[in-house]
Amino acid sequence: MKHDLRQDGVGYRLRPVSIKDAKFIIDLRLEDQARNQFIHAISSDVALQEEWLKRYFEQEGDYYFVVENKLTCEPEGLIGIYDSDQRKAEWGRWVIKKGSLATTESLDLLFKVAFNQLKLDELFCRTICDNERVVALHNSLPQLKRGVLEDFLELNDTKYDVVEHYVTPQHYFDMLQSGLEKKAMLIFQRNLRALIGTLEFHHIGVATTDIEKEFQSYRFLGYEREAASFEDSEQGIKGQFIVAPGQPRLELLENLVGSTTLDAWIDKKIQMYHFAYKVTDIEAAINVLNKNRIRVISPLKTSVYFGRRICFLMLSPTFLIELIEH
Amino acid sequence: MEYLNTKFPQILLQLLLIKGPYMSDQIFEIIAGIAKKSVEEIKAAQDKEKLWDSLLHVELVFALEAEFDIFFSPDEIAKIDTPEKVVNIVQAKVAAREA
Repeated sequence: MKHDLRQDGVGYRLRPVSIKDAKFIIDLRLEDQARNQFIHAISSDVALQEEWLKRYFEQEGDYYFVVENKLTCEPEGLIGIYDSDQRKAEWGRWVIKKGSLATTESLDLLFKVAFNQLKLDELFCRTICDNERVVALHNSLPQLKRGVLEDFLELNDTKYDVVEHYVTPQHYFDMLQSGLEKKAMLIFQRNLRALIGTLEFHHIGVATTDIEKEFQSYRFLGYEREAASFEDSEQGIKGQFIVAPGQPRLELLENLVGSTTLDAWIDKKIQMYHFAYKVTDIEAAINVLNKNRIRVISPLKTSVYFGRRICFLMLSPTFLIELIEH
Repeated sequence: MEYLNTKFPQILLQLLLIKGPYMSDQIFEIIAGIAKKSVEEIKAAQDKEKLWDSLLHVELVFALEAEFDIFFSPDEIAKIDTPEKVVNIVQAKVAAREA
């Protein structure tokens, strides 16, 4: 059906399938013929797929999703919830592009849609018993197992037994959610590394009106100067990096005379206003962050302190990310 | 020094050839652990696909990357669908890194 359910995860998102996805669906479904042995055949004709989608848009209780990589905004898979009677529904149509690592998080996002958005009491899936690898996947997740339905499905004139697995909200929240989210985070960090190289935390930026006065407060917490203070006329600031064992590096900052660089934070009494990260490929990092609506607010420029290019991006109206070329 | 410069690629190759069987055993052990099968089963089915499911495939990628300090491309992730292909691709990547 035409729906507007979306579910964002850390590395992937589910978004509704649209008519424009017809070609992607065909390409994905035909990518690996061996995988199609136990699912309904699909034509390579885009017009036919569009017709199928138009019929799908009219089917109540049918939610078909594209699995999209949040870092690249590229589609990497398909998954769906269908035959919903408001209480329980079946899930399936799960196909992930070869070479993609979207498997784990797409499943987690589907459960979130089912139990957080649709408020279902149960999500079940039926798998042909001969499809041993997929049955093993459902067993190992683990989903709950209801049993075998004999001669339940006819495919290419052959009747197949299917095994029914199911998940309840309690089973998901108590047994599956935490593990799936942890794996999704590892996959996200790996995907991020593949795109931009290393992303290493460096410091927290602190806006002050007087660096030396502020430093005296931090000395109480064990902080010492990491090096001499510096002035960056291009950025309009004076800075002092301070460090303490087991605590994050801080960059204390104050405006140079006549500069208003830090006024927005000082006026709002916001002290800690940016996290800084060293990145291997700063252009790639900016590109990835832009795709996630994190916009550059200062163009790339060479930092006096680091001697490398830096830039600032707006994570939220009151918080920035600084990227430092590594 | 000149001797080392000219002989280094051959020495490296010899080292990798010695390391080869050990590395393949290591890889079979990793696959066996993730696929929940014995090492013997994995060795006996080196050219067989579908020994592990797609969720375990992700775990296999992570385990191999961590063990051998390598990074698979999406194309390589798609290709490593038999124990034999896993061994070949991992050995090639380690050799390329050490060359």
